[in-house]
Amino acid sequence: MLPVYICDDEEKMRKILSDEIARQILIGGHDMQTVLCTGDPEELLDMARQKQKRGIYFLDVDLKQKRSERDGFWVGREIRKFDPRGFIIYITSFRDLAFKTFQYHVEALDYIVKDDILKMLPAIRDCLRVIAKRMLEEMDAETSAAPYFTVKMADSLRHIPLAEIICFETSPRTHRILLYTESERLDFIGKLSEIEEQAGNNFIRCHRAFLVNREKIRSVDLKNNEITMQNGQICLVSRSMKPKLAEICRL
Amino acid sequence: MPASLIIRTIFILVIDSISSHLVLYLFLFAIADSRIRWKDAGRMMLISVPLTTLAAWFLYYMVSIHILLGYALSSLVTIGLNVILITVYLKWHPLKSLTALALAAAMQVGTGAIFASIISGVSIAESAGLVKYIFWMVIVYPAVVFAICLLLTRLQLGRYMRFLLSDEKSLVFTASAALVLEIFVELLFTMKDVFQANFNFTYILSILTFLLLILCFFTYISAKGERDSKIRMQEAMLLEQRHYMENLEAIQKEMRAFRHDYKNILSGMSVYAEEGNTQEIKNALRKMEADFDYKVGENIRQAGQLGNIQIPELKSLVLSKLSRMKEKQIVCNLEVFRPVTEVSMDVLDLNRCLGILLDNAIEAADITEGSSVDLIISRQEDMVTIIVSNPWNKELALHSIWKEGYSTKGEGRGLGLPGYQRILEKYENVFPVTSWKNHIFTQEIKIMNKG
Repeated sequence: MLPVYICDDEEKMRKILSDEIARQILIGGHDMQTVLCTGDPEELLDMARQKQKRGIYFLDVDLKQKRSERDGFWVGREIRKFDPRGFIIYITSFRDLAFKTFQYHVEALDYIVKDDILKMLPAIRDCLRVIAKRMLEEMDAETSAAPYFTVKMADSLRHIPLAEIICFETSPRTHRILLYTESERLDFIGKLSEIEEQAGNNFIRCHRAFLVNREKIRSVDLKNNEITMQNGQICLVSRSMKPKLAEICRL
Repeated sequence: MPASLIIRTIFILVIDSISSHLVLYLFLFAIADSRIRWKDAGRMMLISVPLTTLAAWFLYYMVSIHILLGYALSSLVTIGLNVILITVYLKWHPLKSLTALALAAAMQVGTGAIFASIISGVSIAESAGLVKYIFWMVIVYPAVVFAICLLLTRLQLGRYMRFLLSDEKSLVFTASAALVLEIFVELLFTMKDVFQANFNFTYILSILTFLLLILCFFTYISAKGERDSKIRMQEAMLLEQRHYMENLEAIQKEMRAFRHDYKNILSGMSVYAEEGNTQEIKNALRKMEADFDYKVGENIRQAGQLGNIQIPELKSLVLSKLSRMKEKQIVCNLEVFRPVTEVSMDVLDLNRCLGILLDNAIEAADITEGSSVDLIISRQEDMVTIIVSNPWNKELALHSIWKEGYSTKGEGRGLGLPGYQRILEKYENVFPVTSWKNHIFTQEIKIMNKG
């Protein structure tokens, strides 16, 4: 059962939202229930923190708070601290729309524009349907706790599953490491020797400047001291590592 | 000539060549504001030293040529050859290579003349023994020059020269001026041989003064050029702000027209209401709303987001890229959710980097059907994040796009990403992320707040 929280400082909007959500839960037969409908974000956060349960949150972006920094966006980030997998939907006027920003920083599911009531209601219905579908999909899929590598960049943390990492490479910049996956390249502060310890047995330090994932190796060219990875990238092999690499290849 | 003398002569020519090449490259890197690329220098020397030694041998000893002419020709060969080598190995613009090389050569010849003077004055001449000669020419002389270059780097000579070496308009003039200067200094050097001036204090002093004058002259031109360029940039910014105002005025005009239209539509709707014709009312409402969003709504929204960029140079850049996108009919989704008033990075550097990313995104969107570019500038408590993304469904290798000359647009045009990386290298509080997922290519810059 997913708890639904509604937070909007306009009473009229709260009524519209809670009525339509209740209606859609009934029609769709979703396993959800509205547990809070308030204009005070602190109240929402207190209750949600207590419940310790994954929830659905309808948040007004433009909450008129005493502390102007504490808008719906701030509420979303606070929610993420204790409910990383909850569903956050923003209610916003077209004027204030900045959905990609919300998606990036808060992983918001969707947004609903409140300027046009006629469009709002079907949007609410669609959101709940998408959530229900996701819940089903997640139950089917395997949720294995895959080991991951944590990258700290500026003030944000990224968790990359180790299995997706192709290699680490030292950047020409001092103390900087480049991390390559099939689809990304990250630049962060680190030391290859420390990463080598953290990354585990699947990673080989084939060169002073390279730490490669052995499962992502496509081919090895010992004559030219190169390894070609699955994404086409070429990593160097130092002379001292050649014998060890040759041995690993034979396995 | 007896064989032993030939061998000894060639050997001395080689030593001289190695020594002067070392010094030349040291000055080259100092002038061009680059770190010393030993490997590339080594590769260039491997080619240049033998070839120039052969040329010198040929010119001086095989062909009986006047010493001045021979010297000039051999210098020409050295410079010409090294310009080619630098363009190939260091991948600099040929005119930049020529200018920097000519200046470096002037410095090399000048300091060489002084050093040779000192050596001969202290009686450590060629005749005093090969080992001592090697020691002084290949070790002491380059070491002294290394120290001088360190001092020049401390004085940020390279930073002043950077403008002169990269501004295309003045590059031809600068290259010619540098060449003329270099020839002049060479002449001065050879005069020593002609007039047998050994350890002449006045001679050394005059060379030093001359070299200093050269440096000051070029630094002055460079600084002036940079100032002029800044003024031009400010004028460009003013132009952009005028465009911004014109955009706002256009929005105002459309709003007035819209207000006129909707008043008519409303009066029509009240007739429908009297008749009880709800379908027509719904139609009219829908059309009105669509019209508004299409004509004015998006403009207003974008203008609002633009207003949140409160760094003038940045706003200017975004404006100019937005208008370029409008010209090419590329949709731009601009999001600046919170006001951005400052960033822990030199704004001009940020503009250059963002400019490179946006140019790439625009070019990609241009050749992708129905494409758009997202630009998000997000201020957080401790950092500012800038994201540029666009759809891309053709070939792309995340690890190769950073190399010079890589392009998805055809031969010879790079993505500007090596330059982008070079600029970001200066900042330890900046973290770039590149990704290509679900056919969307994204470039992020995270700038952590300092202090």
